[in-house]
Amino acid sequence: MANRRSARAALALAALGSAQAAQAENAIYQGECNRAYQVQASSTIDKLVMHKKYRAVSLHRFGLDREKECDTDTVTHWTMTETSRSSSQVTFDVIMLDTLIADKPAPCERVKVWNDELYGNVTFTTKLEEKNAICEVFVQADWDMFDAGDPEWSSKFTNRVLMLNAGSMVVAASGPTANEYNSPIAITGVK
Amino acid sequence: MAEKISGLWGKAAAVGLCFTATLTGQAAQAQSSFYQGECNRAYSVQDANRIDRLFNKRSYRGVSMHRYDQQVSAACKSDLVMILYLTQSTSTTESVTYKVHQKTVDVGTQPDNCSTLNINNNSITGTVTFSSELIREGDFCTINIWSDWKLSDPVTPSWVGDYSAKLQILNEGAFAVLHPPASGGKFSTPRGFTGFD
Repeated sequence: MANRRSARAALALAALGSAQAAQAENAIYQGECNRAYQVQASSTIDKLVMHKKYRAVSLHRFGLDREKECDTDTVTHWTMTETSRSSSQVTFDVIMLDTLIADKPAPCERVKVWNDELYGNVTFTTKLEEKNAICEVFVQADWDMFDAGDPEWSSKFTNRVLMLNAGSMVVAASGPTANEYNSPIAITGVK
Repeated sequence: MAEKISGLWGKAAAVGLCFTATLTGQAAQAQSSFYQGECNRAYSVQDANRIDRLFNKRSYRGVSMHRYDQQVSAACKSDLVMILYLTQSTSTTESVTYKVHQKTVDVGTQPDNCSTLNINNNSITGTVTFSSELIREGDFCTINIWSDWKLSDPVTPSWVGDYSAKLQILNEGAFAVLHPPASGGKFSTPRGFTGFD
């Protein structure tokens, strides 16, 4: 069970990491570089990622035969709890749980919670990159995840985070293929 | 972008309340515009990003997670996960419309009297229409992308979901529907969609 779960999670996380190249537009600021430094100085990460706790959800299909047979979606529930905070970085403990939801009748299971889980941490920072005299400021998330049921498995990946309204965020995923997809990770602060 | 929420009842009511809050949260969403800046450029941007080009996928799947301050939700720490299936029905240069089917899953995280898992393949169906708007204020222009949802539930005929919500366009055909801010133990995530051909 744990190995299967880890393999699935690894696929999903790898896909999320590979979405980077397409996300150039997902910046807090793009333009003149002096202004970019001002934006980065004033938009510190502790102001942008303001909540002590976040909840998130994403939808996945990993390309497994059984998913096709049962028309199964995997809903991943993310819980993030703050462990440290400064003006340069904010870190959260992360727990991921999966729910499988099938659209076909028996022998497909209509809905099931996986009993093992991934855990780890995520650190948010702001970054400034210059290309051809154009600067962009963006929020970066660095994830370091482990599997409670498989001590040999771990995954580190980095992606950009798009800031939305009212302290919510979204992590864009890679585009779908014939049998796989990953929705964006939709994140909201919890009071 | 008219708002109409009626027939507040049960789970469907919660959906309605959620998007009432979405509408009131729009003041905070100015940063989620598709474009803000010089107006000549705005017209070029809107022309190059016509709505039928932005929403060119045959279908989308999306998900969001919610907690409402109902007693059972508070006691069981249950999350309400909504999965939405969109299938394109019409597409013009002005708007693109999809049929909507919604599935809801309650996921409780506490044992004993709490239902740990309950799927509701319920009957909420309807349409969503995507469009863009260009707002001009002097020489400053803003382009917003909107979704207009019209949902109904034959099981609860008194309930109608009729609301508008702003979108953030993401990479590779994905997008996120914005949500209201969290308050008092309640929350709603943004609704993240991915598209398929």
